[in-house]
Amino acid sequence: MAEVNTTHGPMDDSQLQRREDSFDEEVGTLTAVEYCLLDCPGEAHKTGQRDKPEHFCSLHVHRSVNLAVKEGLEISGVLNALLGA
Amino acid sequence: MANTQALCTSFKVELLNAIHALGTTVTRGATTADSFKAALYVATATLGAGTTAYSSTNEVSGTNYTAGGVDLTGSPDWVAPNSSGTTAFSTPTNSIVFTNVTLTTAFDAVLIYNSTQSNKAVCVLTFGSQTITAGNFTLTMPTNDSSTGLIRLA
Repeated sequence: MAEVNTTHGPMDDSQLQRREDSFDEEVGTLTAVEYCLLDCPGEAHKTGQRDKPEHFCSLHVHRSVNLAVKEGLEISGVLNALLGA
Repeated sequence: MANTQALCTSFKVELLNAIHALGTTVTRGATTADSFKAALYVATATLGAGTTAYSSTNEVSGTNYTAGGVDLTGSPDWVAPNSSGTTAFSTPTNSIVFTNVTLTTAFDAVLIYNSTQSNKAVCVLTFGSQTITAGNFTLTMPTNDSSTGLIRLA
């Protein structure tokens, strides 16, 4: 059992339902962990569909996100580009 | 041996170390690395290649989020610039973490900027719109090498 910080204050995770989603994006892999109350009436739980692009359930009580950047930004040397290198 | 036309690799590393001043507006007396920060912006902001400095316009706001964002941690903030092959590169030393925040307006960009040098912009990273609730938003940095480093001069 672990403690989760929520909009109701710290709660034991046994009182919550957890959902984790991963998305592969151009910049890297985005992993979202969302917690709702066990008896959450949110429509998303009935449909299994996110009710907004930026989260799964609008009634979530905790949401954390990790973006693992896979590669950064590159500046190509102008001369190298002209030479086709 | 023949001469080869090229942008010298050492020059690229030295750019990252602010060794060269091709213009006349740069004066640096310090020998310590600059300090950098990261700020989050809402999906309606217009950050991009044309961004020159930090601005609070369209920055996110919410519980435990301070305007200006968070300091990059690590000593120094960036791994010492290095090169491999013909590519110079550097990456923030540590992950960038916005701790225990609640950001209910969707955001989709982070601006890394130089807080020592008049908040001048470094780079913008974009991702799918997110919200955070009583949680963390963490940017885990890529491997610091010539293929994946956060900033690479090829």
